[in-house]
Amino acid sequence: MQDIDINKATEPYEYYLKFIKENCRPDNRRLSDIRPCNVTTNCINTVNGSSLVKLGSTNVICGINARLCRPKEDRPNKGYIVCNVEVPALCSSKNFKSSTQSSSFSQSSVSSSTIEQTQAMLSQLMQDILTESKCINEEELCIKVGKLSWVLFIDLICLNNDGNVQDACCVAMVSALKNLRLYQIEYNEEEDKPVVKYPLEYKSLILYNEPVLTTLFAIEENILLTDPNKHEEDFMKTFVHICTIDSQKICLIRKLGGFCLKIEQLNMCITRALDNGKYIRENVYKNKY
Amino acid sequence: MQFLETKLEAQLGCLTKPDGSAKFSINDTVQICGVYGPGEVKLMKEIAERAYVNVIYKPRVGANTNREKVMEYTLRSILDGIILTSLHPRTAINIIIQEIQNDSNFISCGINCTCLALLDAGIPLKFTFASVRLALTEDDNSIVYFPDSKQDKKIKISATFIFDSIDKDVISSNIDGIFDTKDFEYLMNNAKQYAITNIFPLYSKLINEKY
Repeated sequence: MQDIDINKATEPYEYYLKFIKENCRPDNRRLSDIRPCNVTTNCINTVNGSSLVKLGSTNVICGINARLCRPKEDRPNKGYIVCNVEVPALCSSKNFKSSTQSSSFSQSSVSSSTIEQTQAMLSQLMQDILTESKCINEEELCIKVGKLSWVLFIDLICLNNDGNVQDACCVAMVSALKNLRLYQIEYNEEEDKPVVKYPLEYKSLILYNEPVLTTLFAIEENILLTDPNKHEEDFMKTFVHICTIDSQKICLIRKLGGFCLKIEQLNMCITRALDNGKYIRENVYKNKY
Repeated sequence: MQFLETKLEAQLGCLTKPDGSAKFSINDTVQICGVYGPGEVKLMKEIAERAYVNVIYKPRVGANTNREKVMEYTLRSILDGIILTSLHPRTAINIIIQEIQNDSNFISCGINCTCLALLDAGIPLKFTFASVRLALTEDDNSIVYFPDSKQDKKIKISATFIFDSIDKDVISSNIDGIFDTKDFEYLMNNAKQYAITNIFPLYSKLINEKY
């Protein structure tokens, strides 16, 4: 037994490969399994919609603030949505705030980067998921064309980074959007002001589809795994983000760097992402909000 | 399938100070890239077994926003797997891309420009790489290569692919829009053909002229 512990500390990659060759992983998952995913909604009182997601040990909390504003000049009949993801210092020992410190402890060249770049990347990814999946029609956020519309500030904060923050962020964002309640607002023409309708009436946003993001990664040439945890993120040679919106349609594929994937492997990634999407939609999103 | 007249132009060695430089233009999108390396690295960023790849992307106007940071992250993660970093441990390879004109093809143009600048600087690479951006239009489902900002408004799927020069496999892909696996394969095969017929021969021609 002592041999195993020593190997885990001195040669972590070889220790990990021993499990992979037997088609399983140290945390008792198959290669294509994701960690157990739990969602709690309505956890923050001060915002209009909120959710807390636990994907294994990765914790992400999402809060949506709705504010009134004048719509942008070139899109007078649409409201807009602003996504921001924060990966603060408390969530992981590698995420130090200082931008001069790089994660030179990790072996993987694909996953190391500064905090600002990671946050920018995640925010852009969440924004793109919302735009490309067309799950929200921004015209429904408009109250009065050219004068008044809602703007949704979606803030995602990672509380514990155990790998795969982006998948958890996507589930958190969609759950919070389902939980979102906006007041009924009327526009007073003469005084040019919004008027809240009393007694308070709430309306929810219609979600036209439910995007699910799946991250797959590769450590050796032919081995593809789903849902990396923090240790696995150190070893990964390349990763793919695939966002699916229903059982056949995909809205986003992002594959960055590392080594090349052949077309058969990419097809396998897409199949796994579609299956994972179906699983999450049936088990996680179906909960009553 | 439409083969619109896309004008690809490139030039090596346009800057004198950096170790390698290149200018690349796709229709109206123009970028210049300068590569310094392998050189001094700050102690904080030093890595014991590899070189540290640093990418800086400068927009034409304004300060750095999310768009620039995402581009830097993308390029850095791609280049870390292509540059033979273990040949130059404890050094830094600095890549600076300056955007001169942007007509919505900035990702592809930046990547092609970086490849040429790395070749000009003589930095060891596993293979050369080329980026193609194409889109499916809404009206008649035809393919447009490197759509500019006016054509961008009428497309339903937009895809950027990066291919390597040896096996012509996909190093990186970035696809937006609602699609299924058939669309994905169709776009990928067409992009591969375009890279093989237009971009890789352009690289060979430029290198042959220089050496």
